[in-house]
Order: sequence, then structure tokens, then C-alpha cells
Amino acid sequence: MEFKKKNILPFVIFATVISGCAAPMRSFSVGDKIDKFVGEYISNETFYQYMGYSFVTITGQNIVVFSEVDSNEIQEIEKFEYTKPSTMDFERIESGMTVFEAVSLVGIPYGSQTSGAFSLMFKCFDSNQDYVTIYFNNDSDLHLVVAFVSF
Amino acid sequence: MSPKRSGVTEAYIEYRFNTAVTRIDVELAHWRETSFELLTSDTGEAAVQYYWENRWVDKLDLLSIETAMTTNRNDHVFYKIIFETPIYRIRFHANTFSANTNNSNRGRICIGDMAFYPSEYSLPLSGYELNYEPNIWNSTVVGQFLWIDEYLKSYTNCYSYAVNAQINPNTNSLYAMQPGQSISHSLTQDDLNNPNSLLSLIESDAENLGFGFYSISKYTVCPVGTYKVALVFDPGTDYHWYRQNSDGTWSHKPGPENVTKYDGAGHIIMDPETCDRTSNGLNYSLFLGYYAIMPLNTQYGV
Repeated sequence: MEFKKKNILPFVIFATVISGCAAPMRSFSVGDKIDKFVGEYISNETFYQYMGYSFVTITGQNIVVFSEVDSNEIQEIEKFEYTKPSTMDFERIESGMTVFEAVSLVGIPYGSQTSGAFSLMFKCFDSNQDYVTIYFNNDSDLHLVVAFVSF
Repeated sequence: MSPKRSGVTEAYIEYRFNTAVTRIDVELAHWRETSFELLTSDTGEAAVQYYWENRWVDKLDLLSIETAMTTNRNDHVFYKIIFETPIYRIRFHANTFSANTNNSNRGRICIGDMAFYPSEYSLPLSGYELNYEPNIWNSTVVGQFLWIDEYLKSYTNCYSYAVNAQINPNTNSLYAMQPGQSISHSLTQDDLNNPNSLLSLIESDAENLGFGFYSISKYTVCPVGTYKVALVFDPGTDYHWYRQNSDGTWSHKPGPENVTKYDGAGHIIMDPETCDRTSNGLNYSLFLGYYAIMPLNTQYGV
């Protein structure tokens, strides 16, 4: 999923005024508008979107959100403590796990290389091979589930 | 070639090549100089054109002062026309701004001897290739929330593009296709290690979804209703598709990214077998072959 910023300047000015009040970072939950979530975090360098999932690391937390295409609502959202995964963490990934379960073990992805197959790249912090690729299939609800891990 | 008769204001002669050409030498002249015969830039248009990105593009304006086409048909002028990219279709085209009052030929342009210079590319067109229209994939908005757009390209991949299925026929939704989805197969590591396994899954999809998928030589014209695609493989890692466009070039869609006609080295793709098949750090080094397929044409929003 890719988003384009349009005429964002008025919103930036507005946001700047609001931020002057030192408001706490907004908390999102199921049913909230996905565009507000994306608008909040799209400029974060860790933000990434893939097949309906949005990923971001913010204030020491890995946040994963799922929203179906054509839906403007967050259908699933989970937050996990930021981790630096090791090879052992990747070895705990099992076929059939959800994206949320995978992120809970190995953090959020850095992108995807594959053109055909569904896959996400994750950083492995104790490996000579910097990135590990997790391949996915989709279930009947069009949620991604782990197929296998490629080291 | 006469573009002006009673009820007629346009004429063209089109050439289609099985091997793309890079240069054409041709003798050209007006029929004669008389004012009621001669086609000028005040009375019409005439050009040598080539087909590129879904439209005819002027290559040589036959009525310009610079071209200086002779008005004596017995004294042709020799023109050397060079194309920067190999071309599969050219035409001589002329039109007048008004029809003739009788059925005599007017505005005639004479085409004499011609020589064609073939390129190294011989991937003939069937006439059923789809136009190269990247914006339909890259810029179609499928969701719009406040100032944020969500694009169709994010939910389609190279397989979707090869068979022209913006809507996945297996899920009847906007979702990227995967080999074997029509038989509820989930892609495995073995599928990505074994091209024959992948081909078998695609054959199942072709049978269930009805898009054909017949192996074909690159030099063969595809059967009626079909066009060429190419399947490539990065062993153990991924598969990728290319499809031939109506102008003879090839295009592809790397995952959720933009549809493009450029290869990994930034060159226009004339032949996926010989182009640079690196993409996003992967190298689709194994070329599995050319296939004729019928497009599924499941368009988003239709």
C-alpha cells in the first residue's frame, strides 16, 4: 500500500499549532480511521506498508495495523516491545503464524524484495547475513500467514 | 497513396514486421505539382509514423520545408529514417482537411523502393497484445481518505499484471495472485526451488481460470486472442513475469511497485530473455520460457 501526501501544508501548519500544546502521542485502536494512523506515522522512517498491513516503530514499540483494502477502519492493531531479533528468534517462527505473531518475535519488516511471492525482510542482529526473509501465503480472509523462513 | 477522394480524407499504408527494424530507407515524392493535386501543410498532413506506446508518432513530416519532398514522381527523393529503439510497426499516413468533390485521386504521395534494416529482436506481435498503460496500474486510486490516496498497484503483483487481472479471480477481490491459488495451494519453499513445480501450479491456474498458458517459441506469432508473456526465476527466492506490449516492447510489475517497461539497467525491454533481470536486489537469472496467454481482463472498478 502506498500513500501520497496531497496539499499537506495546511495540515502541517495545523499540526504544528496543535503540537505546541505538547499533546501526548495519539493512541489508536480497532475501529479508528486508518488514514489518521497513516497520516500520523507516514513520515516516520520505520513506517512500511504491505498488503493491507502497516508497520511502524514508535517510542520503543513495534506497532502493526491491519486494514482491508476499501476499508477506512483499523481492523486489527497490536503493539509489541521493540526488540533486536537474533537467529534464535527467527528459528521460532513457524508456518501458519500470523503477521502479528511474527512481528512479536522478530520486529517489524524493512521492506520486501520479491516481485511475485509474498515476502517481508527483517533485520537479524546477530547474523552475518543482515536480513532474513519471511515468506507468506494468504488465508481465506486475505490475511497473511507465514509460509516459511529463508535465512 | 491517395488521401483525397469523394468522401475520403485519409489514407495510410502500414507495415508490420516480425523482426523489429532500426532503419528504413525509402524513396518518396508527391505525384505532381499542380495546385489542385498537391498536398501541403495548408491543406493536410502527411508523415512517416511509427507505433509507440499505444499511438502513432510522427517520425518524418513529409510536408515540411526541411523534408523538401519533390513534386516530380519520376524523381523520388531518398530518405534514410533511423529509429532510436527497434520498431515493429510503421506507416505512411496522409490526411486532407477537406474531401474531393469528385472521385479522382488527389493529394497523392508516391512510395518508391524501400529497404528495411532488421534489429536483433524477432518477437513478432499477434495483434492481441495489450497497450502499455502503466498509469492504469500505478495511479488508480482504490481508497481515498482525507489527503491520503491508496493505490491499486499495492494490491497487485507481476502475476496479476501478466494475466491482466487487477481483481484476483480466485478471491474476487483486489489482491495479488499467487501460483496454485485456484487449487487452494499455498506456496512452499519447494515451489521456489523447483521451476517445474511452479509451472505445474500455473498450468492448474490456467486451466481453472481459463487464461491458456501455452509454451511458445519467441519467434512464433501467438494464436488469435493471445499474447506473449515470459516467466523467469530467481532459484529459491522468487518468480517474475513480463508481458509483451502492443508496440512490441515488454513491461513488468515488480511486486507492489510501479508497472514499467524498463529493465534493471534502465533500458527499454525489447526481449526479456536478454534484458537485465535484476530487481530489488534479486536476480531472476533462470529464464523458463515464453508462453501464450489469454488475458483475464478483470479490471478494478468495472
